[in-house]
Amino acid sequence: MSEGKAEGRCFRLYSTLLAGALTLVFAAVLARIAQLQLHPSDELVEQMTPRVSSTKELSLRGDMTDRLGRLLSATRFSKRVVIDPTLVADLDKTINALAPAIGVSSDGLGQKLVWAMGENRRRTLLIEEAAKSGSGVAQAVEDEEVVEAPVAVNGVYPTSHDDGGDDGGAGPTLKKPIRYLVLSGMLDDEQVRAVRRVVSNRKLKIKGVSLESQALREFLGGDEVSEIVGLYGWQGVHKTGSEARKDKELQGQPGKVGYVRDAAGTPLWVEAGQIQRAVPGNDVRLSIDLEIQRIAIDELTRGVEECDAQGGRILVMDPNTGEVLAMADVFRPVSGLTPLPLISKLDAAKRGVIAAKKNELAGSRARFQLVKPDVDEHGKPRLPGLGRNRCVEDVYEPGSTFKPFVWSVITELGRARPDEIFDTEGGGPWITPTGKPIRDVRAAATMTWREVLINSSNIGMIKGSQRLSAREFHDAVSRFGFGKRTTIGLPGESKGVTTPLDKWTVFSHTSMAYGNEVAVTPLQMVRAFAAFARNGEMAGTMPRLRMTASAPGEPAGVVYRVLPEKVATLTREAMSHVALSMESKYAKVAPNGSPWKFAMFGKSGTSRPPAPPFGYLQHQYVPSFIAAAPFEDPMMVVLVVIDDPGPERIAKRTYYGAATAGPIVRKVMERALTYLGAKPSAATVAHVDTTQPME
Amino acid sequence: MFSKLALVILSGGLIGVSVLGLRHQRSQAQSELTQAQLRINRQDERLWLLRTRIAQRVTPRQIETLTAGLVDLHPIDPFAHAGLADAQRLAVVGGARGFVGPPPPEVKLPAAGAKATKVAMSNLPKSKVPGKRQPAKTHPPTKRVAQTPEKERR
Repeated sequence: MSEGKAEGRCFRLYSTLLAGALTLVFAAVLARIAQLQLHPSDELVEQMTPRVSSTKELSLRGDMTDRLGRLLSATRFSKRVVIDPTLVADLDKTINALAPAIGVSSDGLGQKLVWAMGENRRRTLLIEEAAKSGSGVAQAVEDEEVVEAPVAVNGVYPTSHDDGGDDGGAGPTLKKPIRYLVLSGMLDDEQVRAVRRVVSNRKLKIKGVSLESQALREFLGGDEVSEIVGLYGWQGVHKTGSEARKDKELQGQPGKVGYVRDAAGTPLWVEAGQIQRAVPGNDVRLSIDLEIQRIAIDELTRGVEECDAQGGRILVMDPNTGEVLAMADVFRPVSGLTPLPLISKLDAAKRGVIAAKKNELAGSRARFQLVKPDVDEHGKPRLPGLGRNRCVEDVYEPGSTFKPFVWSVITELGRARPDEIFDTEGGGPWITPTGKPIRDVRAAATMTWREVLINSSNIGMIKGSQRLSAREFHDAVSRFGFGKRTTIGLPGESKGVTTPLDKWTVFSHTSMAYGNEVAVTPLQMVRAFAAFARNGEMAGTMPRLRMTASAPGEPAGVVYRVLPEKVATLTREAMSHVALSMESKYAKVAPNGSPWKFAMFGKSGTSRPPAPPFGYLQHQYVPSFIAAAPFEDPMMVVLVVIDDPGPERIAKRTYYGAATAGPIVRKVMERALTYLGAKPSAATVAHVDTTQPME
Repeated sequence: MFSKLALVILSGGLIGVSVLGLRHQRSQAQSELTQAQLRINRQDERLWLLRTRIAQRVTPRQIETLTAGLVDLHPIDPFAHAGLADAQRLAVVGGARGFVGPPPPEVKLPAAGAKATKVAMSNLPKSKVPGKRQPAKTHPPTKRVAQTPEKERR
């Protein structure tokens, strides 16, 4: 009995002891928990901060395509190497492994890293000093922008002095050590693979290096459309061309993803509601057709070469919708050109100086430079996307291509009938009311009003225009949109040069009858010419020009009537003979020897380049040709302007618009319409008198 | 008392381990989801890169360069093989433009529909008229296949 009691006491004692021990352990654990929660050590505080990071999801900028969906510019992501200099353990090993992988010199990479590590040491020292002195220095902050190593001078990087910056009297701002340093530009696939090999090589033990994705705008249309597409600079800082004009539509909204990571920085999971997806930008479909653009550039380049010209411009438009299908200008370097003379304001004010210079220029046989190469201030060629778009920015004198507009208005107002006989003075020389002698290229004693346009008679046009009042003539010029910018919205567009009504003189009246004293852009010219190239009720109306493709079934845009339908058709019919005449003399058959498939109507023109303030250059020309086809249902207006055909062409008298620009227009029209699958015309070459030269 | 205490401790331990296991599984699932999302992003980036590369290689200029030495390419002429009626219709359209030249042959063109087809077809050789029964010799006699009754097939 006593033994049993003793055992019971013993068991109770042990139990009490065990319970006490457990209570003590639990109490200790609780005390530790309380201590960790209420007063954790500094080391633990650093570890206890929530390991949540967020990453920016880059938005995809919309694509820019041509009218058939061929990519002209698109965004892709590319990699670059970034490093956290605070994690670099072995500097030499890191430099030697990374430099060949990213294709840079070890010296350059080394200097960058050494600078960053030196800068970090300096910043750490400053922070420690400030902490020791307890001078109330504000807490160190991170760099606001991405740190880039400064430019080395003689291989030595200058020391940063930004730590002493004054922030409004609140004391100097200390900066945290640099933890993000960009080491390379955009890498290609091979370089990315090489960097990955280096980073994943455990033997090398390279730390802190990572590959970062960056959006990169790729221009896939090439140089052919670079002026139209424009440029989109690094991270969208600089934009030009359509990239700038359509920026709002193209740009998307970046997203954000928040995730929990482990101590090593490896993403673990994404908490619910932490994903904010990026919204991609909208695509923009330009009206340009890459194939027509190629055809236009090919033929223009060939034509400019054949003419030994300084350059040329071409514009192709759909007259029904106002869409610009192709737009290009070509510069051809010609040796031995003389720069146009300049005159200071002081000299210009002196009496007789300009007149003397004008005489000097008239007597000079030098070939002056009319088209300047697109170079920057250092003489280096500009990036293609930053170049000048001469179809939009530069004007030219239209010459006889202006006659259809004057002719149609005179006809509309009933001042001349198409069959009315005009005395064309046997081709001249005929003295105009302003006392200027005028000649016709094609001499005839008389011509009907219709033949005045077909034969491009200057005398006939001047006599016809005398029947208009100054106001009527001025209104005629304005109604076709000359002297006003188009609504296309391309940057740098010129509004052209026309004489205002209050400055209108008798000289204006005679000069403008054959396209002098007026300067237009190729863009204005094709838009105005579209009035003749539209069918049915639309004939005589002008389209609203556009650089974006119209959707199927979309209305043709704002149009306004400039001519009655009948007059537009009448002018078009007369111009069909001009085109046939050009073909029979300068472009009888297609390059492959077959007859032309598409009948067209058009007008040629030749003017002299101006050299202000000295008047016009006497031995250089700017010929042009504008046409539309197919005749029965025009699908295309093409304008070609040639800048200064060579001396050989001038000597042979084949510098006119019909001889230089006409064949180019003809070939572009044929190739582009075939490509579009237009119905061929059943026209044959008309019986045109080709014994006489034509302008 | 001891056994009860041990049971309580063990139960507590088991519950703790289970909760931790569940938490670990949840973390693992979410981690895999995140990794999958990152893989999708990488694939997207790859896709965009390939897209731009393809676009670079299929510009009209590139295709012309590529095919220059291979074959003599000509544009497809949709009207090269047009029937006579189509050719005459085109001729009439062209002739109405007022050009000087030989007049197109006068053809009474049907308005549309069945009549037009008839005119067009009448100009073709009889054997090539689509829809007409061809002579038996041009087609080998078709072998008669015994039809399986519906019930049997089931």
